Amino acid sequence: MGWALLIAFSILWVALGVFWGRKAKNLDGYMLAGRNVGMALGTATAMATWVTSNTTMLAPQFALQLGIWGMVAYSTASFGLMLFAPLAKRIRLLMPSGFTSGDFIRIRYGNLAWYIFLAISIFYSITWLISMSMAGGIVLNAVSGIDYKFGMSVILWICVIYTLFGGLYAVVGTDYIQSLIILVGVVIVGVGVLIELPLGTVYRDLEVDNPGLLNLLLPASIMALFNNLLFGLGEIFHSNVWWTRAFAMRQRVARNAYLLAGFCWLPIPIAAGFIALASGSLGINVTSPDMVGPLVAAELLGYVGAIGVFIVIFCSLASSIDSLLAATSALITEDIYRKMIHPRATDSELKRMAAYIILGLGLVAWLVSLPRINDLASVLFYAGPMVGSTIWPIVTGLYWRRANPTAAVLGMFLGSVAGLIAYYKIGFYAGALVGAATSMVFVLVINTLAPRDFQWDRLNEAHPSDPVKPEVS
Amino acid sequence: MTLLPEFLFHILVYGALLLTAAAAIILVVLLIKDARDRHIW
Repeated sequence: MGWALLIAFSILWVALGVFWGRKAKNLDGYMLAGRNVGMALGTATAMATWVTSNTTMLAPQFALQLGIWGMVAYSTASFGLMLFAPLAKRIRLLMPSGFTSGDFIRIRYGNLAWYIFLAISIFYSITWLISMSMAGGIVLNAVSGIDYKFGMSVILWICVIYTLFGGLYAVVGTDYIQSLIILVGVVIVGVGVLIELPLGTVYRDLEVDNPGLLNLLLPASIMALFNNLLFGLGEIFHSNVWWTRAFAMRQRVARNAYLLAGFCWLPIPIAAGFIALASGSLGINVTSPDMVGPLVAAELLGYVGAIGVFIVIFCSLASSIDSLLAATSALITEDIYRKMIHPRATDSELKRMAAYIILGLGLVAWLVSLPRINDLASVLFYAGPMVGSTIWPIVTGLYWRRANPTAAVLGMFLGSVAGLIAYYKIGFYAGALVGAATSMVFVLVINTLAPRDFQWDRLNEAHPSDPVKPEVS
Repeated sequence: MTLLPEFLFHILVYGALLLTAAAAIILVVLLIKDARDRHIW
C-alpha cells in the first residue's frame, strides 16, 4: 500500500506541476507565480510550507518529553507567520519589483552585510533541504517499510521534477492541495485516536504514571518555548522562502494571508502532538521518541492509521521541499548569478539558470542524503543562532529609516558567533536566544548612537524582467 | 507541582482539533471566493 500511495502521489504532483508550469512563461511567472497569488493559495502555501515533517514528527516527541508545554511550545512557531504579516505588506509596498531577501539586504545595507546574509541564508536553506530529504527517507521507511534510499530519492526527485517544470506556480498550487490533505489527515487521525481511547483515560493515566507531563511549571518546557519562538522568527524573517511568497502575493493579500496562515498553523502541533501522550495508556515501548506519533496511530488505528500518517507526512515533506528548491534557486539565481556573475543576463537566461539551479540543489541534497548520516540532520540546529541574528537587521531595515549598515553587519556576524558559542557551551535551547539578543544589542545601540540616512525609494530597484523601469529618486 | 486541570486538557485537545478542521474549511471557502472573483492567481 505504501508503494501504491507513493506512486499515486508522485504522478499527481508531477502532472499538476507540468499543468501549472504552462503559466510560467517568463521569470516573474517562474520565480514568483506572476506576482498575483490570491488569498486562498497565499494562505495555504504559507501554512503548508511551515508544516514540515518536524511538525508532524517532532510535535509528538515534544509532547512525550516536555508534556503539554512541549506541544504549546511547538505551536509558538506560528507566531513567526503572524509577525511576518505586517512585514510582508511593507516588503510588497517598498519593493514592488523585488525578487529576494538578498535584494533587500544589498540595497539597504551594502555588500558586506549582503555577503554575510547570503552565507547564513544559503547555509540554512541547504541544511534544511538536506534534513527534509533525509527525514523523508527515514519516515517513509519507518511508516511503510520502503527502503531509505529509495524513499528519500523518490520524494526528493518528485519535488525537483514538478518544481523544475512549474516553478512557483507548481509549488503554490500543490501546496494548496497538500495543506488540505494535511489538515484533514491530522483531524481524522486525532479523532480516530480519541474514539479508540477516551481523553479522560489519557489524562488520568498521565496523572498517576507521569504527572510531570501535565506540569504547568516545567522549566525545560518554558525555555523550549522561548527558543522555539525565536528560532521560528529568525527562520521566517530572513528566509527567501517567505520573501518570495510576499513578492508573489497580490499586494492587498500579503499581510492577511500570512496572518491567517499563522492562525491555521497554530493548532496543528497540538492536534498532531497530543496522541503521543496516549503512549503510556497503551503501554507502548517508545524506542525512538520522534516515531511516537506514527507508533500510537498504528497501534490504535491499525492499517488505516498508518496510511493516514503516511499521507500527512508525505504532503508535509513535499510542501516544504518544493518551496525550498524554488526559493533557494531564486536566491542563487538573482543574488549570485545575476548580481555577481552575469549582470546583463536576459529574462529567459535567468529563467533557464533558475531551472539548472533547482536541478543542482536536488543533486547536492540527494548526494549528501544518500549515506544516511544521522548526525547530519542536526546540522540544521546550528543555523538557529545564525538566523536568530538576522531578526533585528531585517526588522530595523524595514521600519527604521536611519538604520546603520555597520549595525546590521556587526549584529549578524557577532550575533551568529555568540549564538554558536552559547549553543556549544550552554545547550541547543540557548543558541537562537543568545544570537538574537546579541544582535539586538549591537543593532539598537549603533543605530541610536550613529544613525545613517536612507531613502526608501532606493528599494524600488529596476530588474531586467520589468516591462517599465521604475523611477528611482 | 501544578497540574493542568482535566477540563483545560480537554479544551486544549478538542479545541486544537476543532481549529484544525476549521482551518481546512476556511481554505475551501477562500478558494471558492477567489474563484468567484477570478482572483486565484
